[in-house]
Amino acid sequence: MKISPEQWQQIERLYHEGADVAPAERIAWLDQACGGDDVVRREVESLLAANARAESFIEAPPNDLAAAVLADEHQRTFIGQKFSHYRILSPLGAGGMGEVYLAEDTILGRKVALKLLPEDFTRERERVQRFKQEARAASALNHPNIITIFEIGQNDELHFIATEFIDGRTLRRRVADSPVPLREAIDIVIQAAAALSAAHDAGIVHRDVKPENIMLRRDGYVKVLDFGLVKLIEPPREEAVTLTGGDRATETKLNTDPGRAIGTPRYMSPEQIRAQEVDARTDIFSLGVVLYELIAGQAPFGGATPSEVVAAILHLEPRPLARFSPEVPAELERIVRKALRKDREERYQLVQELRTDLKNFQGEMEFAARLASARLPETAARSAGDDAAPGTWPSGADTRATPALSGEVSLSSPPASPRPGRKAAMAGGALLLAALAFAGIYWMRVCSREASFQMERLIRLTATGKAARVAISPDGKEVLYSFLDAGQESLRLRQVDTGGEIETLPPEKVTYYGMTFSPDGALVYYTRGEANTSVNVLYQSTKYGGSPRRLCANVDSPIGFSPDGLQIAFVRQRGRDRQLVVADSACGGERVLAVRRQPDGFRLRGPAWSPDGKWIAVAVENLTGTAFHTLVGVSVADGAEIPLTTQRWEIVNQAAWLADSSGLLVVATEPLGYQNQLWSQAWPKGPLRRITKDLNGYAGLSISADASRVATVQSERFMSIWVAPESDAARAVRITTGAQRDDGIRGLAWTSDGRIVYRSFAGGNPNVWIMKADGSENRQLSTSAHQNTDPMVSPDGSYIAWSSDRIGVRNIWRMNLDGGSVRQLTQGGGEWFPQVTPDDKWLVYQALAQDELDRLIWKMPLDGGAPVQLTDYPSYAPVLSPDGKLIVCNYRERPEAPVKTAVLSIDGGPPLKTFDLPGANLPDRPVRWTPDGSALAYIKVADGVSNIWSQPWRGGPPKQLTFFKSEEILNFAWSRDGKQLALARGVTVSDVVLISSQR
Amino acid sequence: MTTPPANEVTQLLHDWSQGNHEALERLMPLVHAELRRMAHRHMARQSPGHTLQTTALINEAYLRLVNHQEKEWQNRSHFFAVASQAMRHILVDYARSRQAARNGGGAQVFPLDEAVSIAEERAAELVALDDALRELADVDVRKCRIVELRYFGGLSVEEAAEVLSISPTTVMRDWNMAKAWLRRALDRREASGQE
Repeated sequence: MKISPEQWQQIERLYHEGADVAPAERIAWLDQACGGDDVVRREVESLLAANARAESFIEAPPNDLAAAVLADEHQRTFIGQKFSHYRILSPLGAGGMGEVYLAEDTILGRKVALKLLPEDFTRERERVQRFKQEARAASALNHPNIITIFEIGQNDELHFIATEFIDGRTLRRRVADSPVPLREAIDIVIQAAAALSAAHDAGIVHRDVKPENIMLRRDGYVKVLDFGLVKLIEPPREEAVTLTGGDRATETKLNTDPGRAIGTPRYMSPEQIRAQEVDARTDIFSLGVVLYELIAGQAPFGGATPSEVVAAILHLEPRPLARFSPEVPAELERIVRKALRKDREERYQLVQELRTDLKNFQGEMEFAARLASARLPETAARSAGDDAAPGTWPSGADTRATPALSGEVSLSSPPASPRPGRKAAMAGGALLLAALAFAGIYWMRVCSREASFQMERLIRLTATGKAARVAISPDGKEVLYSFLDAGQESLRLRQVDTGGEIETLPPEKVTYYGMTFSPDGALVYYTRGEANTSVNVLYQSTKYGGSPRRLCANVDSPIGFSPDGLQIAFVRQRGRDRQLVVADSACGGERVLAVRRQPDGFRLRGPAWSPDGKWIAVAVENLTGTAFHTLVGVSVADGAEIPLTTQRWEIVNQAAWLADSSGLLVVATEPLGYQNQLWSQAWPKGPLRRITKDLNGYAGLSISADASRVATVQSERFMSIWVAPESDAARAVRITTGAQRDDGIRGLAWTSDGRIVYRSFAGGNPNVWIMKADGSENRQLSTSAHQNTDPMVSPDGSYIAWSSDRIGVRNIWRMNLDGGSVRQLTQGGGEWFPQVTPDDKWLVYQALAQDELDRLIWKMPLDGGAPVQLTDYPSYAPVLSPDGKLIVCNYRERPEAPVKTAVLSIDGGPPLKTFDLPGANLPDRPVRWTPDGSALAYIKVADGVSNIWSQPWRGGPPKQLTFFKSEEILNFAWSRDGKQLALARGVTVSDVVLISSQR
Repeated sequence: MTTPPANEVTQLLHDWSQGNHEALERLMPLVHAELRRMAHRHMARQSPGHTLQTTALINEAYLRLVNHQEKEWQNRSHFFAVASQAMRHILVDYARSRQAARNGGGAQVFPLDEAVSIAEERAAELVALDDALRELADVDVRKCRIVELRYFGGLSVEEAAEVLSISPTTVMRDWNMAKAWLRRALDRREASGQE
């Protein structure tokens, strides 16, 4: 199709005109504006569509690439060159202090590593001299864990260091490749501590201990590099005097002086940052940072910029390790904390002390492992018959082999004593969430000028990890929150300033959807779902839980109060309709203010009444086409709707008005975002600002009457992929690690050669990854900055099919196992959950019905042809039986009916069998086939612990397949041979936080 | 390799602005070489992993290569036009050679540090962008130039407007449409499995 210059001019004009036309009106506008010229129309339409996807595209110059390209070229120019009697063979890598090459010693014929120091570092002769002295002195110690220096020399302008060549990799590389098992981490740090101890004895302080400077030789030896090298770049102490006046000055200094080669201050001690005189204790701190990072998978003091990291090192306590890895024993937590004390007088005084404590811990760990494996048979038998009674000691089966690395430790384990014996070494430290709880106070920058709420600080009020919903009293002095433990919920009232807490309603098998204080603060209203009924009920009681009163049924959201306290608003589900209802505060005089019909309905969240009483803000979920959420204001006078935000959100959780009507606070997830964050949206017009900037999720939002304090529930999800041989919980090994990645949720599959394909947020947005079943060779396959989900591997093992919105609409795509040969399979939009039949002829998936009201199961011939609709009832997440003849899926009998499970034929039609399996009432809950195809497998949660159960599909009793004692399971998949079970398991910890605004 | 005398570059810029296209052909290798040379000097002086700002590099090259006695402001614009193109060539050539090497073209590929693995990943993207830019130039040369100036040269809208002697509004409109055009071209490429 050739475009003439005239057409191009027309396309250009229409393109710019069209950019101002609202997307909804665009089609009509195109019809009219293009006047029947199909070529022009197609061009304009596709360019406008591309424009929407082009936002940050090529906005930033390719500086990273330029640097990489030129660095690469630069390094190549040295190949073959000679420095003294060393000839450079190939580049080995580059670190903060210089480029490293593999070179040959032409006299002795051995290989050496040659480091070239950047000229910027070697201008001052005196510094070079000091560095040489120190480096040589360390090398002269002849310690097995200190790298040997052969020569420090100079060739023209360039200084170089020739050292022994270490066949291995840096600790940084090691960490990047796969999670470091606890045992290995301890061993590395013990060896590094030995090196430092020897150096300290000789009066040498390293000053720059970090993973880049620790090499791991193939045979297991650890070598510490670059002693004294930091002397070349440290600011002279005269300069430092001016920096010690206050922290702020220091922070500014570091931040505004990027020319210094200190790439990251992440491993610096507080005294180093303050430019005070450093001693051996600085190395202890840095080694503590390394140890923490190896265990937690992230550094203890994080931040997006160096100045944030600096602030964290100076002011923040690191989060307990148990938050990352529930099985970290208390003793190890104590050791790390002692190494990381900000005041060096409180730290380990000698690196040898740290080393001794680690050695003892290592011994206890090994002893515990031997003990556990000796006791295995008895405990395995016990776990099989015992449904994890809360409070029982979780022993045995879990801690076999490598106790701290694999298997289970219950969240309900008893507290470990401060100097524990071997029990504590085995036991989980999740209890430390309570024992070591700290009120984390984060000072954050605020950029909202328009809406009046400006975050001053965030304080964690609870530390149990089990808070679910929260309401704050109008005076901001108390919070009422629901506490979820072992499948039961209670309500607790907590005084914000004193920390005093009482239980106002005892634990029961109920769900609290939300609580609201009356405007005078005396009463609380709560919406609650009760066991064995699908009806939700609104109650009222005093804030201390006295005189509870059942007000009315069929209230399906928390309530919002009118400013005068006389009326309430809530959302009610009636069939497909979601009604916004207004009533008096005793539930009388009900009036339906507005109705929205699913799949474009109001959300079942608390409506928020504006301070002038005229508007009710309520979240909307539009699940047609490319699904989105938004926030609307409904007029109390006539039910008319206005948008409150122009943003199309991934999720809108909850909104609250600011008292001065300058705007709303919203807990929501932006498109492509991972978790709910707190935002402010100015009103009636004005900017949207993000208030929290962290990786946690937030749920619920309650604000004090003067809008100075906000309560919300902050949660972190730690989801890892585990592999259990023969589905044996006791032998399950965790193969991925990390917070806020949701590894394996919505995507967990095996290749025919035993690799695991899974979805992860590890790169920030959802992508398809692949790794070996031991966690190695982990790499990302999908590349676009879009939502990639539901990967599955074709039965012949040759390709992956997955769902992606990479071209703006959501389709099923396929790619090879190396990420190549990407091809679009479906053309419609809104397609999820692909499955491929064993003969590779059909693609089965979930997509919208033609009227876009329901989600249905479809199949499509892979060699071309029209999709075939298989169900005419709402049905979700299909999974093919191993023989490809049956489909299991979640479904609803009617649109408003609860989710059940159906087995149907690959040719569609009504269900052959239906099941009411226990578990979350969610359309995308995973139901699978057992490897032999005889039964359905599903996740059953008992008292907060998940296990896999099976249900023979032709009939018969259900059977428990796994016997885990803790944690949730959110997905699972058997290997092709049925011998290994991969699981996405982990915990979510959620606590009440209080965010206060600047006054 | 030595730096060409400032007068030579200044003269060539002048000739080119007078419509002498041969001047551009002589100018390009000079600028190209100088950018590379300076970049390498940066690399030798600074610690690895240091980011390198293409804009800063071009600015510095300008200061070194052009004789400022002349005070001809147009020279700066013309210089930036040449330098942006040169930067495009440097990056794209590298990306193509990288791809060729990976497809068995001979040159040995070393396992290097993280910075270079970024380059590996992005090489394919860059080649695709370069192809799309060529196609765009067939339809609308000015838009292609604007992308060169803004993306490869790192120029602001105002600076690009100055180089091309058009209004900033026009640059903005062209830039917006060029981005949509390129985005579409790349999406199509990806969709047809050529990534």
